Amino acid sequence: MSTPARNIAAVPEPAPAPRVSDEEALDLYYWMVLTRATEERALNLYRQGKLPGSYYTGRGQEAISVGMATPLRKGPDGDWLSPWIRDLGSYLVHGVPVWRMFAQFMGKAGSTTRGKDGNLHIGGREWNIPCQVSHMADMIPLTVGAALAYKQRGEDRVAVTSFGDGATSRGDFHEGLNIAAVLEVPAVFVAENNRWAYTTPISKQTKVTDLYKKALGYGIPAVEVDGNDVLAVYSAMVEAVAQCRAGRGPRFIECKTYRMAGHAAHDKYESYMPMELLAEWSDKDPLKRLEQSLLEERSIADGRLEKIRERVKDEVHEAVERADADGYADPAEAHQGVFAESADA
Amino acid sequence: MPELTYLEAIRAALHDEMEIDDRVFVMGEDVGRQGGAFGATKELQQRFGELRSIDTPVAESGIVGVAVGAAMSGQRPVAEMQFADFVSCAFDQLITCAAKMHYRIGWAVPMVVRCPNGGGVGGGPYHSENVEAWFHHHAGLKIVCPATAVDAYGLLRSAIRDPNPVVFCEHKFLYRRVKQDVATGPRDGQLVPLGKAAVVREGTDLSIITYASTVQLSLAVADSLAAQDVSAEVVDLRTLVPFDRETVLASVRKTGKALIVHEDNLTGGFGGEVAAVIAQDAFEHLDAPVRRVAALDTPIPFAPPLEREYLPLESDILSAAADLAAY
Repeated sequence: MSTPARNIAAVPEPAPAPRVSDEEALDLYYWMVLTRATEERALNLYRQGKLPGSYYTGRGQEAISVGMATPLRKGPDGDWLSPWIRDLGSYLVHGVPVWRMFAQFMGKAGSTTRGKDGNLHIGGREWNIPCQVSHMADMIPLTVGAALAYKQRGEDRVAVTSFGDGATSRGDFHEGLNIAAVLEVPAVFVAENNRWAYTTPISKQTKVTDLYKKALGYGIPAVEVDGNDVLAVYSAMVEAVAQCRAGRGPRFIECKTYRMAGHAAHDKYESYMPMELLAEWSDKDPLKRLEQSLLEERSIADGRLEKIRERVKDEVHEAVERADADGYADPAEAHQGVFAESADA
Repeated sequence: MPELTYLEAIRAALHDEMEIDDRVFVMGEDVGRQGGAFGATKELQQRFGELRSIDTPVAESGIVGVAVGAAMSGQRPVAEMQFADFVSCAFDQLITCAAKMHYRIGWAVPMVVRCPNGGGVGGGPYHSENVEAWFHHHAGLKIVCPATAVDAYGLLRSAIRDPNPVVFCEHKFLYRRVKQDVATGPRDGQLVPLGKAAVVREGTDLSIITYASTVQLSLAVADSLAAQDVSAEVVDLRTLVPFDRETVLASVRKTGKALIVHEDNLTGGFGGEVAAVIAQDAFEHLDAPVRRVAALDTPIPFAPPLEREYLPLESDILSAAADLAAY
């Protein structure tokens, strides 16, 4: 007689959404507006030939980048946050000043890498943001390692990383999730299912297009949320982080969304992305949706939102000016820093 | 002072560092309850608990990646590859994350990846690899290759304390074949600094520059040469990165002849770099071409006669040294 099949992991009941106050919602709005404005400005600079390399936007995914970072503790003794290439907003929320983002895109000395790396390969101990790499999924085991360190020392910190659907095809995704589950470490994995990995649609990436199911396969409690609803992402994140801090092991959040442009600015996505789908998702724009919710459901005066947009405009303008005025690192910098002199450096 | 095998010295180094520094922990396949495939982490879990001696899934890339994250988060991980060969699965994490993190953002990655290296034990193509040259080419990784029990102990402790990622190539042929009195103890143990080669035998007629398993063979060759009135100096590099150029150059400038020996295969091996440095910076002192003795440029075969054919033997070193002495 065969052993009967057994359901070893199931989707947990969604926790009741925490009440998000008007002030918190306005804060989310500020960060999302700042994220979009920063990216739009950077894209313009790229098109004007003022940024070397290419430019990668996360347009349409701001709800995730901002929503996942907002519940985290900031600073060197705060939570580890390792965002991927679409999550510019996460860097801002977790503390990286806007002008240093532009300095990074320009390769200036004021970038967090002193010009040694580009785009969103940004990081530093002061924010507890490791510097992501180009290789998909590599930061997942690192994040598990940070979470392990917190667990070993009995600290109630969490380690968070995000990645796209393409990354779930790499071995480090599977090795990292599996180790996290077995060691029961306080790590939160945020999958941004934007349906595209460069030119490859998710149907050619995996047969299991609900990414949270992959996490369930490793015994990690997982939920899926509307990735274009910042309140949903934020609420799921608050819950996952609380579970982690309470020592209940890793959590996985799949955010369903859509990539609203090419892989990078040089990518002629019009040739392979169905335009009708783009139009459809354009109606679900996360910023528009939050704005609507603030104005209609929360009856917040448009003037307050306008004020936030004005403030962001000024901030971005000043940030670009400061980055522009910044110089390049001395070429001697290229020789420096291969090895650390001390573990504190 | 206890007499320890090379393997016992490694275990003692792990124990002593864990004893004085709560941040140090070991992780890898079967390292906990079992104490590792070779016993290098034996009883550490019983002494320090499951959070500091961690049995992991079979996932070398994951293991090294976790070590990088833990190291960046204030811990001092020592990750074990069950056999050095398996570090090929973790190559990406070492090269992509560990080696470049400090260069990019000035955030140190103090970790050690222990790699039981080398042949001579009938391990075949997947349990005999010498991996040091795989990592030597890339900036940002230190590479340590001890030849004696004293060095295995002292270099491992220094590697754990080093603020950088260290690939620690311990030669498994030496595990139980090399024995020495080793000054151990959490506080009194004798550390050996990284980046300092050792002149393990002084001589005047030629320099044999080597490391790891071929140090003992080279010393035996030096004995044989002495019987023929040839005085060979033997330099044990001990660490490949940092590379102690000065000790090597001083030796070659003195003897005028250089024989480079390693168990790793010839092409692209570390010996090529040593030869280039000698050619550039000691050219005027050379009385003969630089010679190399190394393994065949093939995978490592399994059957004992084939493996012997593959490995550089004492007789190979002796004949090359004798030729060089007569040049």
